[in-house]
Amino acid sequence: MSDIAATPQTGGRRYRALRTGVVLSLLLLLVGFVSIVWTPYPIDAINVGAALQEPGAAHWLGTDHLGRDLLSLLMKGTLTSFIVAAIAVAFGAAIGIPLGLLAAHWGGLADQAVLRATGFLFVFPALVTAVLLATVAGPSEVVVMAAVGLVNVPVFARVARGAWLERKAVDYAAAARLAGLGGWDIVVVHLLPGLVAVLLAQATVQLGVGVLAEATLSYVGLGALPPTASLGLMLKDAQSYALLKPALMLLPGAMIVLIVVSVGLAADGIRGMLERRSGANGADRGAA
Amino acid sequence: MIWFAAKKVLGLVVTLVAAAAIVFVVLDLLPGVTSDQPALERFLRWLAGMLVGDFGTSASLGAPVGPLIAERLAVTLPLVALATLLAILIGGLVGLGAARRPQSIWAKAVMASARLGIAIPDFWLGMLLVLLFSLTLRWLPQGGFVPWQENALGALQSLILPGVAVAVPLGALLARAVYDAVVAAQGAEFVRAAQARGLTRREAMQRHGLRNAALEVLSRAGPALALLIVSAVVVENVYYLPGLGRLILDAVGARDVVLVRGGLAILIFALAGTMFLIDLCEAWADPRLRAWRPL
Repeated sequence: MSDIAATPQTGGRRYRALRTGVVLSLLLLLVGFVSIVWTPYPIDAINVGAALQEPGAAHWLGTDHLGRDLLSLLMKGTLTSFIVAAIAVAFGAAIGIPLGLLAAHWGGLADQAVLRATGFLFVFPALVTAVLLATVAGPSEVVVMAAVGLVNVPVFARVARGAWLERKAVDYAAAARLAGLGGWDIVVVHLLPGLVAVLLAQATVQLGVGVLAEATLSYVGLGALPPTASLGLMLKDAQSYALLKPALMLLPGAMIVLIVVSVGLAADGIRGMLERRSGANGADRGAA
Repeated sequence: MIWFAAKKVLGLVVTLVAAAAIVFVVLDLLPGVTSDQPALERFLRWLAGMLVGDFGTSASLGAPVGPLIAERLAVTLPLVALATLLAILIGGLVGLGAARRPQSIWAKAVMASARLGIAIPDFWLGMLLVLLFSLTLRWLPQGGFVPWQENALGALQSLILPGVAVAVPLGALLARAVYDAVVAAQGAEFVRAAQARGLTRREAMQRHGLRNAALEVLSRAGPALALLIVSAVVVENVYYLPGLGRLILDAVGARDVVLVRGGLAILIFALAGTMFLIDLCEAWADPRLRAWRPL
């Protein structure tokens, strides 16, 4: 009884979460993009004379230990987070989705092989890959993109595989086949739209994962190096000034949390929407 | 179960050898490490050496890698154990508590804060804890580590804050998993059927629901649990703990190939080994998983 009453409420809340998440994410993205053409100060302008200033008219959020403007660093750092996470998502999707689809389509040994390979990648979390690559090529944002991208590969492969298998089995695909539609037409008309939505939801989740990973890897010195601005790097620098000027430590961290929560809300919202849609189909399937 | 375990052991061995090969080949790209011996022979020597605890000699520290790693694990492993315990405690209590009244304001507030907990970078949480408990309140040490044999209590004390920092994000994830699984079990048909047979709601959950929920949690949060050691080696940096993380990251800066590959081998072994144990636990609790299947 209670779940019947709960359904409309849950749906409404999910759409609200979706709206909030998407609007916040786009705002943060905008902040990042604005930093390409404008920041209050150039971030490589080192001015030790103006170091560790309090927020004021000249520097709205104050300055760091090298006299760099904190607001400018935050803006650029946000941009770096999004770019690194987005490229890692693209990398994972470009390799993972075809792998997953091929596994689902061919089945049998190919399917087994892909599943084994994706399971194997569990022992290469971003930190392990980044250590490996940074030892050989030196720390950089490219190392982070590759390391996080590799983590994304099995995620996309599994989701694509699962979504494909699920959708291949639904009644409307069979009905379309009976109605005389060819294989390719069924794929384009009936299977791809649903697949795109599922993958979009996963991409959003992985974007948040990527932002967290970028900050972590830059913090431990495997990612961005100065003069690149990165939220993780800001936290590394701030560690020595935690008591002297807590804002240096609080703001970049809060920014990371804000990005990850916004993106996470958007991802949950998309997923909620999918569940609602497929809910009706699911009932049909259950009856058949 | 024996067949299942044998298959899993084989899988574990293949995983470890393949991962070691990748680590070896990538690090071999670095100029200056090649010697006269062919790569395959050096790889096999390295593997055989590790089996007897001989990891080679670190160029940057001028000491054998095996003892170096063992010394660092005396910090990292207790940290991992403490954080795992805390995370399970947080996740279990919060998740079960919230699942008792799933639609209440309280449950919603708890789950919303769990979302926040998942989004907090572990190392930043570590910095916040230092700011509050070490620098401001001065309750706990800010960082550094007293060796166990000198002062066991002091050693434990220096692991408390890092333990919490590692445990909270994972605990939040566990709480959500527990909450979802228990709420789903409460509405599941087999629990309702048990109630229809005359069991009380509580009995039905205890006898049938919770077991299923536990499996659900294990399969959803298992990988995160295994990855906890990665979080631990990152948080070590916040507290200047002389653990495995510091060792590996310093070796990266020094391009100390022997030390990096030894450290990574241990890290990969820990990841694969934990996942192996979690798989076994799952199969032990769920007969469907251990059904004999070729391959």
